[in-house]
Amino acid sequence: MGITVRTILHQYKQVVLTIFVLIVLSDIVFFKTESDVMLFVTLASYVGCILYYKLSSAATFRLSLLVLGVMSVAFIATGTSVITERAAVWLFFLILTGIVQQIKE
Amino acid sequence: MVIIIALVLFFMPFYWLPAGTVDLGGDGGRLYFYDPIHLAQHFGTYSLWPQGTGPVGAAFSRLPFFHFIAMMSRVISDMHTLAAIHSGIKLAGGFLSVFAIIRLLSGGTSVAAILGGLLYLFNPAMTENYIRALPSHDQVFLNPLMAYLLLKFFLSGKMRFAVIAIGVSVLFAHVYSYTSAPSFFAFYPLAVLFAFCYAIWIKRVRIGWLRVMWAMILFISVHAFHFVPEFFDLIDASNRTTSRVFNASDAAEQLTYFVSVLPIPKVSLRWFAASAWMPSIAWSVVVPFVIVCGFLLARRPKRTMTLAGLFALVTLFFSTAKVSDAAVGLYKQFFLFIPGFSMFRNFYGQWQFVFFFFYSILFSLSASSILPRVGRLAVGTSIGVGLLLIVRVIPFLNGSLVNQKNHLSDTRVAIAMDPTYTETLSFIRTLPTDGKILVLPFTDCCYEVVHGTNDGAYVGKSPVGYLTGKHDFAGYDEIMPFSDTFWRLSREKNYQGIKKLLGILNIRYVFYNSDPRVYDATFPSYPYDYARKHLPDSQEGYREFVDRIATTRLYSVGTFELYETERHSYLPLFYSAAAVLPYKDDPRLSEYAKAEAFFEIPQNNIHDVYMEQNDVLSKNAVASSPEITYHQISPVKYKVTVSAATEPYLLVMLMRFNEGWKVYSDMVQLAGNSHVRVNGYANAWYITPGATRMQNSYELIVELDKQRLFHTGLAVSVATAVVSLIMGALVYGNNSKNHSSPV
Repeated sequence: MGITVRTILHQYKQVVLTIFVLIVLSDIVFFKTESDVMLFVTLASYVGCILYYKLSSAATFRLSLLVLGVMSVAFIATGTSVITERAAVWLFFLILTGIVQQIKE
Repeated sequence: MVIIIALVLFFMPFYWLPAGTVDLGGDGGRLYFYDPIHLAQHFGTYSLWPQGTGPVGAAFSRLPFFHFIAMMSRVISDMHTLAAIHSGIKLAGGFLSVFAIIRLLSGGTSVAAILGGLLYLFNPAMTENYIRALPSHDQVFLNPLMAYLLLKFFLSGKMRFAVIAIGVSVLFAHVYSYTSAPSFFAFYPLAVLFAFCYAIWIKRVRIGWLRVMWAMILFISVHAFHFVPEFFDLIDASNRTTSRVFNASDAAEQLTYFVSVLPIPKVSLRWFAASAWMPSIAWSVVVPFVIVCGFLLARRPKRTMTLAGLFALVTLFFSTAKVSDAAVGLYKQFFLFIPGFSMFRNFYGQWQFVFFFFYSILFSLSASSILPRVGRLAVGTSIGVGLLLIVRVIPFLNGSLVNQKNHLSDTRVAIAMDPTYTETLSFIRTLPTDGKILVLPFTDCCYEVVHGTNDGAYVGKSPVGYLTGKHDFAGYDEIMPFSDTFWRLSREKNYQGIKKLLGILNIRYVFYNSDPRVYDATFPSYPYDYARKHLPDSQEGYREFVDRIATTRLYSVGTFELYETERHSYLPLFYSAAAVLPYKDDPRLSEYAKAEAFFEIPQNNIHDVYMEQNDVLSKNAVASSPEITYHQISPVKYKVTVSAATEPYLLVMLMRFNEGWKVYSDMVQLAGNSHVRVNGYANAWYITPGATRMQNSYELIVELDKQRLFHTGLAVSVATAVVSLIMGALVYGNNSKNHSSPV
């Protein structure tokens, strides 16, 4: 059973990572929540993915770029709204994660 | 290119305000551009603040800067030019220092360093605070300059960088005083840590710890002239700042303040280095894009960028607090459990300077990663980004951000000072030393409003107190514990009561500015919002008010008038009490209303004093009332002549109570255990014949012993400076000999 899960995770690596990206974007755009639970659970899961898939800091910074794009669009459209601020918080933690990865690299 | 940019930045402030005008106002009070000589003489030289009842406190850190400006003013008499030079140094000095740091850290292109310098200067923190600038605003150029010298010192081990840094720090000692503690503690620990990490982790340099220790000793020693008195101020529990920062219940109050201002900073605006007033604010999105792309495009992980990124994120947290609820919770714990952390109650304003310093470095390092990768587009990209950074802050560049109107008034902050006001201050300096001054119209806090010869007005700390050597009461804050009493008596039009109050406060003069442009419709609310509800709400009303509380007009030029109060209700600075009137304090009364507990208790004699009945001395009868005269040696030292003192008596001094005031007879301290508070605020000593060796007539010295701390510290500072100069000359001489000797 465990081996099957690991195989699935390896086989569907892009899907798993895409899901994470979608969760992050959903948290920013749709949920408009300021809940730490969502933030830290998702972040912890992403850190788990980094360790499991041995992702480089570049992957994290690419995700940061995407979040930055969302933040920029939201800022231009809505100013310092809840969406913009939430994206800013995600950007903070993603860049922090990327920097920690760089230190390890 | 760099020099051209620096020159443009230096001369830019000359065109912000109209010629002949300067912004003097605000809490910081930039009166050193108006009259630095008298400011140094009357404000920075004594352990006594000029306002109100004479609170004891050190302001010596400002002396070097005041004297420097005073020296400059002998060469450049125009205050507009002086102020513009000061702002120009901040801009050009800040830019050059950041440029130098980035070249040192990255060794990369000058273009990236220029962009970093521009971002540093043109972010909200650096652009929004030139108007009514506080003394701590000098950190705009001091922070990067000191960071650069610190890096050079750590990397090279050469003492000359430490000596230059310490020399500059003395000139701007006010940035290193405890009043500027928030900006100091926000920046320097992190700057030192950054320099340390860079030297050890990245450059793998061995740090000469002995030299670091010597540099610290040198820094502390040369700053002793203000560190020593400030240290003793800090450990004085009665000091308001100390209480606010270190007292647990006061710290909890500051936490409440923190929570109330928490919504103000926005994390997204920090990322964009933007503020709402910026036109074309949308272009600010390029700033974080450069940073993230820099991380992405760096050929290999760059440790310097990693380090700068870490520090930028840490300071982003400190300057916003809102990077998650957990982060806010953690921040609150800092207030409750880290002693002194409550000094950061205005965290978003205090930490933003540090954040933008590290953010600019990170931005520049990122740009230096990107530019080599874009090949031929590098020039266009650089110019484009540079223009975006500049276009955003056009209101700052053209002076619109600085040349503004006073709050809720049509008058401008830039004032061309009225020469008749200067003449009036000169007259006030000639008044006898005894007697304080009530300044009208009265303000809510502590400000005085003076209209200029242009459309500008000064709204700031009262120059009457700061520039004449007299103590003045310009607002509600300064007249405590009689603040609420004064409001009440004014509302009730109880002029006899007001005269009694003025007498108890040793107020002998009333300074009245009858100019309708400093009150009436020109300032319909601030800074008179509350004062108007209790005192006359027009200059016409004030005319009658002044006529009822003062008698003799001593001076009148233009709209400035000076009156003397009634002789029979006036109390001199020193006198002997006729009787003690005990009263019970009401703990429900605020510090502004404490006088309500005793003021209405009738006196048989104006020399009767009010004393809290818990004080053991309140039960001692005052047996006699000898004749008292006095002579001022300095504002903190008086010679008091006592005649016909055959019985115990209570010597009263109408300055704010502080244990630092001591009485000496033949260099022996008297009445050390019977120094009490009377009249809610003043000093009194119970002196017995035995203490004065049964003499009837004698001289006493009443002195503020805290002034000696300044003299001690000054001696240490001067000795350190002299020894350092001699040692520096010897080292230089030795080095010259070594270089010129044949091999």
